Amino acid sequence: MSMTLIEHIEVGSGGAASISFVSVGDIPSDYTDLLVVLSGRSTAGANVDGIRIALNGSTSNLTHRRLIGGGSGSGGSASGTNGEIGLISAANNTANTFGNCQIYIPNYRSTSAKSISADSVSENNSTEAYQGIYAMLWNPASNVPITSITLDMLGGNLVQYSSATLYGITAGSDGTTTVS
Amino acid sequence: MPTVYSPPVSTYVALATTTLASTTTELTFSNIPSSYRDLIIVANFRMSGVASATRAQFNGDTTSGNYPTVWMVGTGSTAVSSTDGGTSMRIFGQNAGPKTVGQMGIVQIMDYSATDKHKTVLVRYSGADNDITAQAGRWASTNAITTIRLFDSGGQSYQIGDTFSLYGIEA
Repeated sequence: MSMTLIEHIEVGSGGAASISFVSVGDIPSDYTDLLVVLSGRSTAGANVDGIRIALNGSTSNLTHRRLIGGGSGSGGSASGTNGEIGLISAANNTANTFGNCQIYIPNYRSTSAKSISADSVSENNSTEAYQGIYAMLWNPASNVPITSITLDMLGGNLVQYSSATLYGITAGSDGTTTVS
Repeated sequence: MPTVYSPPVSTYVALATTTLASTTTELTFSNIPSSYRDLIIVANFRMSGVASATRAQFNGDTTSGNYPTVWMVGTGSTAVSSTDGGTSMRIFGQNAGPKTVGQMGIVQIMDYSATDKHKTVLVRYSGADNDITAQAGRWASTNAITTIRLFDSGGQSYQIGDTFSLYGIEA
């Protein structure tokens, strides 16, 4: 099986400032890529909040481009360096409604710059709901394998029942298909 | 009546992968078995310079008009939507621009082995130094896909260390 569940974290009573996978460097080294799936809602007093990612404890050397749609003609494309990797529902959205985000990190163990892709949505039973796709590059002065991943919100905290799941994906061969 | 698999069936099966040991302008996945429902390609790559776009061809089909595509692109400042066609499917990087740092693309090909329908392709491309795209395309053939050729239309080269992986999805 090429996609393996590594860890699942659920936010408990009182909420949490962040969700962290701190033992990425300790997981078996036979995975090629990582996939993080987040279901979350922010306490920020808005219809949407940004998800920020930190790699190996740092939000530095992260550049992103995004393309978003707001459901009412708003949206567009922007770029930044604040570690924003997605959007989820926030406190002004329909109650009990969570957004979600999927983050794909290929070759997380390489010593090259890391290219990251993310898709996210803030659900809302109203016109203002956002969908966003992101491209991110992590390119510090010294490129190292990713050993930890932390997700927090740009404007608030994660509410109870928010959750994140980490999967490992292993590339390989079936012995029949070839590539050249 | 839903189908319940007991024991569970392994899905997301690794079919082929390559880490380039030398630069190349193209690569081809061949001998793709017909035993899965969908295919997924994951590419993590750079180009040798200002490039046009990575394109895909299926089963060596170079029939003009067999690869209609629609996409939306964000450049970091502007949002654009457009279409493409021709003798191959444009998949990664809709803007001609620098792609010399890490790029990644994910291609999902639905019902690739079906012989009663055209093939739907969904693409997500993420180029943090160039553009970000979401795209839908169609290969106008009812043949099962057995080969996938990837190449850059501008003749640029993929670099040493770039990775391309193919997975089969059970359903």
